[in-house]
Amino acid sequence: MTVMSPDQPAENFRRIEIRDLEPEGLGKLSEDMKLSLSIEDMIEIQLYYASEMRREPTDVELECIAQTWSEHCKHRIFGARIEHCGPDGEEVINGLFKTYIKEVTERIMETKPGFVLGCFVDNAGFIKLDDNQAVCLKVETHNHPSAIEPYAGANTGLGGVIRDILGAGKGAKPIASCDIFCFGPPDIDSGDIQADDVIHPLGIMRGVVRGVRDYGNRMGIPTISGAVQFDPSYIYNPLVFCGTAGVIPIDDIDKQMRGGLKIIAVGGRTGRDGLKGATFSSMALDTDSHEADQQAVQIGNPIEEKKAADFVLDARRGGLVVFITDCGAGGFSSAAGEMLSEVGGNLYLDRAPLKEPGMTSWEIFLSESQERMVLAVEESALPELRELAETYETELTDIGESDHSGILKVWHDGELVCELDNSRLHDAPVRQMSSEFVLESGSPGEGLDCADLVGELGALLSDFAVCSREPIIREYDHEVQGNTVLKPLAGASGDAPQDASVVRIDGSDQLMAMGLALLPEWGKSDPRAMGRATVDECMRSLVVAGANPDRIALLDNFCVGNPDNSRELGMLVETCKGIAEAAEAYGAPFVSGKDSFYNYFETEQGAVSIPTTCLISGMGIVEEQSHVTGASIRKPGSLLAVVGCSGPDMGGSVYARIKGVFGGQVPHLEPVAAMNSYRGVHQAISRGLILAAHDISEGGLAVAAAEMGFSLQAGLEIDLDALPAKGSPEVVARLFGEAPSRILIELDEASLSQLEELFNKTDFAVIGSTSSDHSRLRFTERGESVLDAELVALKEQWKNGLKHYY
Amino acid sequence: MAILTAEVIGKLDGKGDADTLVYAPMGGDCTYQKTRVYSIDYNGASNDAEQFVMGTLVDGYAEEVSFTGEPAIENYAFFIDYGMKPGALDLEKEAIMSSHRGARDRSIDISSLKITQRVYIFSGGEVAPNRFIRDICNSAIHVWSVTEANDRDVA
Amino acid sequence: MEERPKALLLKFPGTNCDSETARALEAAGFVAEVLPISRANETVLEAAHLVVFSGGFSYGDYVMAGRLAQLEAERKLGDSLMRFRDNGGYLLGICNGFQILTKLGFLPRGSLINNTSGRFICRWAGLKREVSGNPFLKGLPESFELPVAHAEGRFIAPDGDAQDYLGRGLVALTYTSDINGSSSAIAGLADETGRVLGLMPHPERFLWASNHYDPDWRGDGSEWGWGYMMFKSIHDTIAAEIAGHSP
Repeated sequence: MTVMSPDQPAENFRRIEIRDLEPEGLGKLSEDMKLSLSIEDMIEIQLYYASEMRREPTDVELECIAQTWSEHCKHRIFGARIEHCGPDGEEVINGLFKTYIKEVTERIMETKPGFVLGCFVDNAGFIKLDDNQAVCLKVETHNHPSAIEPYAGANTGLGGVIRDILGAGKGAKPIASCDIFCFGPPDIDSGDIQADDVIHPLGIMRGVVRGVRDYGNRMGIPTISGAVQFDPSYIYNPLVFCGTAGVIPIDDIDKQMRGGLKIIAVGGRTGRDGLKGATFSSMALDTDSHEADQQAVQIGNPIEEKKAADFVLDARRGGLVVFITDCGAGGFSSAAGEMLSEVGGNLYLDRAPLKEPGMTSWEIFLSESQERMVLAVEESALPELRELAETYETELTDIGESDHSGILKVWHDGELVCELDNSRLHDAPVRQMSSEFVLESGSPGEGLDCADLVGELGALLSDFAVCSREPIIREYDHEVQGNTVLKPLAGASGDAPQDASVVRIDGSDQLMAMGLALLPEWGKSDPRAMGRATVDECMRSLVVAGANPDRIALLDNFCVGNPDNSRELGMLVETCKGIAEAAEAYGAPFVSGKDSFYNYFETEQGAVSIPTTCLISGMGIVEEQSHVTGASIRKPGSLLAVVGCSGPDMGGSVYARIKGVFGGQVPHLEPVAAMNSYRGVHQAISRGLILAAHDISEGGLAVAAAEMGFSLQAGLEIDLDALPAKGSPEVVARLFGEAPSRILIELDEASLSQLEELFNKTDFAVIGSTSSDHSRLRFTERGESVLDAELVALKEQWKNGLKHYY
Repeated sequence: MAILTAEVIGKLDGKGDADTLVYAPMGGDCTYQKTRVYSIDYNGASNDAEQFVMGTLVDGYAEEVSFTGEPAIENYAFFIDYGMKPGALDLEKEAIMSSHRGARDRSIDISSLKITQRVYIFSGGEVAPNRFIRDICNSAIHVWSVTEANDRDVA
Repeated sequence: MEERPKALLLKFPGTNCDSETARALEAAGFVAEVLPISRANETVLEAAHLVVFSGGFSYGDYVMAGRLAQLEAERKLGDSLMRFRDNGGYLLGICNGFQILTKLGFLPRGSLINNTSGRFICRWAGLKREVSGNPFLKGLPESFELPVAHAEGRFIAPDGDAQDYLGRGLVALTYTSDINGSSSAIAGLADETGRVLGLMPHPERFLWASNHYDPDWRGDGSEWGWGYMMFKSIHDTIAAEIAGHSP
């Protein structure tokens, strides 16, 4: 008698009878198998098996199709046909991605030949750094796992995006990371959280930061830029974006699969952990998610990834890589799909090293276990690759080969468990959706009068939206690799805020700046303005750090609540319109992006959605070391000037929010004029005319000036009457308004005449000076002091805002 | 096959403010101290097992170790033992086991290793463990137990 | 042609400052080789003048910083590292390398444990050179700055107090302010011979003046940062020895 081990499944796979099922039966099957496929999708699959394959599918095939068609992998909402009704009237949008991202980028690429070296196809978008090297950037979200286990969720989020870079081209070298979080306020009372098992925002924040820290620091990749937004709407659905930039020789960007190659897996082993991650992230959260779907939360092993990274980079340098991709969502199924979908080939699941015995075929094929890379290599390169794997102590396994059949065949213990004609597999039905958006006109600046401007400035500086991120930044190794020349905290005191970070790149005289922006508060009333202003702020942060505004590429990352709600979808449509308009005006192509839907939570009081959140991150080329420009005052006796116009609109501002005034008109943006200013600023930087430059954003001019002064090298005196403005803004709007496209500049008086020539007179003015006789920040109006504060005291408030919580 | 239990205590770690363990301060006078407990199933001599603990798991200058199996610290209100649940990756355990397997001349053979983080809570008055468990442990990755001063397992 | 001194950098799984440290060594004039520990044996040190343990998280530092790397180094190198030192070789440990050298027993007894804050800290630190004539430090001024980035940088001696090491000239570097709770503010230690140096700060991250956080930092007026001066000091020491020994 043979005794079967309890771990040993009776069979590796099974056939599922679907050809004779009615639509309800198909829907129930999708639900029972947790496929997250609609009835329309299932009918499509049924048709394929009934008419093309003339057999029943295996469970492996169904899981594989479900995975490939999931929102997470296929971005079906961004591909959907949307009937939209908004301020532009009624229209049909044939794909948000195609209309507002891809086509915009294609038009820009025509005007800038040779700049974008790859976009939308590979793991990351590439732009040219110099004649030999390219830089690339990818940003991903890991929201749902981070809500359930913040440390592990953020940890694997960063680990995943690093693998995207390792799998970009033939293996890019990760050189810098960024992280952007949206959390509930860390001081919220636990009693105000209206659901069981939701982790307190403070717990989310601490866990997420430590998760990023422990992965990034161990990988030896500097985490150089980031942002944190706090808003009660993120309590139930915190957002965690992780991004990584890489560098690669231009000749190693292009990779082509072909028949006759060996497929090898490198790195971690495959286990039951991380099953169903992709479909899980395409569903909404509820209290049950916190109990039932805990399998979805994995813990990252950064040393495993570091060993794999060392291997991959050496293999690429040695010319041993033909094709490479990471094992992300969908595991082997998506990696094999990417590699073998056109040429075809065989994959042998029994060869994959497993963490545990007894895994069935679909579990091995779909598992999203971390730290795995898949490569296609020449058979003749295998001995050298095996030696390299031994050197770096990482596991290498030959798991299959490519052929010329055009069909993906997956074997398990000698049985064919999956046979898919991939040209058919990727044809998911186009979704039909409808959306609407009504723009409500807001009022400018009402209810925002104020007597105690010093107090208000202090409140802004210590507000969660503005205060120093130092407690978080210091936990990240932002100096490893020894190339971080503009650090997240810098200036003469080493702790003043900067707008973007800049890294040197080995083997090049040119550098890369990394910047980002998100303005969810604007989007609550005017998502289109939010889209435009977000692109503007990202561009501006890169330009002030020294990047050439004509050599910037952008990434778009969207997080949305419930897309099946036509108003929420309408806000997304309007946001897309905004980013498209601005990007086109700035000539800044989108080279990569990602979207995350279903960021809503069913509380006891009903569904809570996040506000439509759009993160624009960017990489810009800084052409010379001398162009790197900080945002901190250098010395007394300089002039202060402003580029860009102020205005009366206070909607979306931090000041309006802390005063409890919502729904105000958000400021207007003129991207063409802004781009001219940015080119002027860049010329000035190139000619050495600018000592320091800081973008005016959250908290307005007063906050920007204070932040510049936090190097404590001089006092600042600013005459508000000199401020270029449209629509005669009140003093509060001049101080705290957040009109976009504005930059505060420190310059030598001797540079002034040269500088003035670069700008339109209505857009540029000297507004003050730096002084040595006191360490104060002083604003005057009609010769009278309206705000006079001690910089050291303001800095103390700014530095301590987050200290008590983190 | 024998089992060795080693509780490792930082010599320089004093008691800390227990409010730092939770997300919303309780404002009480609770303090805490953390230790690590290794439970090792091994084949070999008990002396060699203790040597392994001293040579691999303990920092001789900063830490001391108790092999008694009894809680190494007294006068607690309760302590929480938590560790990675089966199937969740325990990075420290993996690193130790991998190093152990790589050794050429092992004096003992470890068949299994369990690592538990122990948090002692000290309080003058009444204090319930639930607040701490909620903010320290996460059922997504952890298993835990609570032992009160009278040695009763309460959770 | 003169012989360039050779530096051998031993890399463990999780070591991650090897590239920039090798870059700094090369900039100072060394021929630098990075050798993964899997390929190391008792003979690999023979051609080297300087053996370097760089920063990173060897084996994840999961048990305690440097312990598993210490065990692996002992297995792979046996007593060849000690012979290397006894035969006049130089040893440098930076950050995780300092932790490893301490665990290996090449530096004054003690341990590098969790910062008193309980947190990782990445910042620049003011440093004071406590010894004169140390071959690694002689090109540096008495006060200078380097970046630090560590979670376990608090040095403690066996009795807790390292005051004694100061008196014996074993303390090479101290912090000018308390950043991690280190006993006697110790940032770097040397052995009795001065040929072994361990330090928590990262000289390889301050190779160029442009690495400094302050755009107006001018240092000694050259394009180099203080970290370069440290690598240059040890290079020049070794180069002079080689030249002296040459016929």
